Amino acid sequence: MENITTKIPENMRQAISEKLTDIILNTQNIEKMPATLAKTILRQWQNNQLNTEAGLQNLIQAAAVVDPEKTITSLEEVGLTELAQQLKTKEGA
Amino acid sequence: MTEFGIEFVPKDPYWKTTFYAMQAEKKGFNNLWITDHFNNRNVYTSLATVAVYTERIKFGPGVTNPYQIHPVVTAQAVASLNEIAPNRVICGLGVGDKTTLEMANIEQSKPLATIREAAQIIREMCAGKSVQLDGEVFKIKDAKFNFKTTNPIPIFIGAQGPKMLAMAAEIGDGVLVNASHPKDVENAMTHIKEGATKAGKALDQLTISVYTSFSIAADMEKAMKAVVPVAAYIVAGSPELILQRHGISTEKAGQIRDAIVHGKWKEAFAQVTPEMIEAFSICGTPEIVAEKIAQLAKIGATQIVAGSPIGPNMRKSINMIAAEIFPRFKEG
Repeated sequence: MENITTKIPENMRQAISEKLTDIILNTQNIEKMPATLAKTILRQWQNNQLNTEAGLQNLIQAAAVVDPEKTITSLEEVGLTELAQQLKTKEGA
Repeated sequence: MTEFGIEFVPKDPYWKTTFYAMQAEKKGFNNLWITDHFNNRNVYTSLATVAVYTERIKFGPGVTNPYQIHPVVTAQAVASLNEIAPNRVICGLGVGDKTTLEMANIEQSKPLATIREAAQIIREMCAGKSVQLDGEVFKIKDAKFNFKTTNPIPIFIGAQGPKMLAMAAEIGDGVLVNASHPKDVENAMTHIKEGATKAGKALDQLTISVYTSFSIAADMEKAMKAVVPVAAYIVAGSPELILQRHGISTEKAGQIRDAIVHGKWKEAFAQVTPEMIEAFSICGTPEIVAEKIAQLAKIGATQIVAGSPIGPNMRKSINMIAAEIFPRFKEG
């Protein structure tokens, strides 16, 4: 997934970061969030890094855990079809 | 200049509360309060994490109560937090939530004496003193920390009734006025002035913080929908005098209370009217919210606390407060 997040255009990163953050914060499956990943995301938020490649990678990972369908739809909506397809494949596996 | 605080209820995992806490700090909120109910996440665990992840914002329990937590333990908790975040800890103290305390069979007896003595114990212990108190409620033989404290911790007293409001102004560094409507805050100010006068304090020595139920959104209907559950609980728990002040019948409040007690949430929430929302919350679009805050500031509020639910989408609502409300009330 790392290679694909590098393909997210810089001008889209903030908006995608916020979309993914909302999926994580508003999910009904909050108990599915891995504790270590939550800590990593908090540290990145503390350092304003959630819109970086590394930050987006963790957000996608977390969003895909707590709400895969919504994550895929959100990525498709912003035209990140390749990334969405990768998640779909992973979900279907 | 008006300051702004924000309240979080740790019903969610710690990382969500911490995420919003960092967001509140980044966006310029002055204070952060975390509620203390035994059936949510522990307030001090939540605050310790907030202390680690933030740098500037002041924070504390808002409010804790001396019925559930003995004041020597509260003193220990806030003094320990102060080691993690020196000069950023504040302590909100009040009688607590009656419904939650009843679940644990805890009675809110002698509220004035309990709060007065608890505030004294916490303040003195945090000042590094040895506390001896033969109080009406607390009997303390010789309570002192085995560690050094560095700075005083401001104590804010949560209050709604006339006597508690007056006492809050008399003994507190700040008052957390449990209200959202100008009529209630205007009434509260009368008692706050009485208490301040009794203590020989000028009003500007006190932080007068109006602790509101708050909901902001670009869409009025969404803002109202978000605040309905909170308004239902407030109506159900409000004294007759306050209900009368807002033209709400005690019978209607009783019906909502009964529905809540029996877990009939839909029935309870369906009975909440726009008038109840108006009386017991700051709710609406940024324009409406700003107008209400301006009224409260004119009456004497020096700080507005945006309390639960804050908005239909908390992240977006925090951003909206910072972008559209702060510029009208905060300097720089």
